[in-house]
Amino acid sequence: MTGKSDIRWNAIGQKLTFDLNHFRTESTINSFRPNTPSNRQETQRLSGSVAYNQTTFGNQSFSLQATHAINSYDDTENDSKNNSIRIGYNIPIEETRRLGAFTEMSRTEFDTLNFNDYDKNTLGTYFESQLANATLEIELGYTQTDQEFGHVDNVSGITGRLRLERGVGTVLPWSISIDRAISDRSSLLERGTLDEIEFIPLDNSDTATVFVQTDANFTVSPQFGRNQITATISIGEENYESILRDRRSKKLSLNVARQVSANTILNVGGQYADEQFLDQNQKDEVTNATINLRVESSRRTHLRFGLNYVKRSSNANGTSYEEIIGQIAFSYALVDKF
Amino acid sequence: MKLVTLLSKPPICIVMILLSPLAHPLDYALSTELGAEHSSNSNKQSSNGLRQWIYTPALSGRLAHSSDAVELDSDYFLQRRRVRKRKRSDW
Repeated sequence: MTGKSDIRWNAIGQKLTFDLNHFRTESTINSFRPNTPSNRQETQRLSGSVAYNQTTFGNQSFSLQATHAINSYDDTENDSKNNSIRIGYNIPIEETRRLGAFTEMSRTEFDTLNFNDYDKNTLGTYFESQLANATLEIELGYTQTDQEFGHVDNVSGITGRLRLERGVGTVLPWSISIDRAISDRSSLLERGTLDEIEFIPLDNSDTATVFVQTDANFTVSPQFGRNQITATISIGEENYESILRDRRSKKLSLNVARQVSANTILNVGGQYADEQFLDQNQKDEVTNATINLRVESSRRTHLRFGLNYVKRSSNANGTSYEEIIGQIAFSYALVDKF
Repeated sequence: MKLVTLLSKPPICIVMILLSPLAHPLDYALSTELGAEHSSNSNKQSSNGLRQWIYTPALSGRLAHSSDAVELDSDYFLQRRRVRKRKRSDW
């Protein structure tokens, strides 16, 4: 089962809020092996948080948020619990701009002794601006970790993110994002979204050691007539301090969705991914091409047809293959009140 | 017992939170799906080097609600993969 739930209770308007979030998805068990059904497991995160916001001078505000999260994995032994507190101060400059500062302290405890419990502290500042048809978000901070054993393995450094998005409604919507974070595998679940479930793998969960993750994404999504095009270029890097797991990936994807008729949608897509485990000198290249047709045959029923081609080339012994998958599915809505 | 004291009890608060969407419009959907896929994999060294039929019955549900007090958005997909026929891949 995969999916997510987000529940928010505004106990006293926006002043006091309670959140309960659940996210369940799939990841690969062993990241060195191909992403096949036998190498997948389900993994989930359940978190609860309480946030308090207090207006101070003018529109400025102080915020305090406490979160408790439980991360669990069906097969690998890196279940963990995380407690965090975030204190922030927010200063609106104009109606469309604001800046602020925050500090976040968290502790992650693993159920197994194989991985090192650690504290993580971040001190940072942020700036957000809503321009005409565009959004700019910048966050810059310093993060340090304190591991319970083996202090030489502590990871510290500058962390932050940059996101610039040119909004929908313009001729050529695009977005660019750059992230640098210090985390373990479980914190990737925190950032997960439902869309990602369709694009396995999300992350690989055979380790829980702290690492520095750097990601850059560029997406452009123009619409030409009935064709909605989405092209994405992604570059990612994971640097480990204490184990030989450094990894670098490059991905390029292109998808075209076309409304063929009032009740038929055609999706054609392709993806190329290049993944390298630098310490093992392993290089995997995966090329993927898909074509999907969805036909709404009535108000309650629809049919899906799909064809998927995958070619994996790897210098790891016995993990290269070509695969063709044909799919057909019939769906019936038992109830639909949306 | 005073009403305020009663409402301050945690279990009652939780029940009230759970029931509060029912007093407002609640959007929901439930659908079932029956799928079949045929895959052919060229790798003969691993268990993936097979031609096989897989049947994939699935159930998906969605629940959403929005009011001043409570916001809820829930979306789940349950799928079972049942392999029916396996054969070594020829290619």
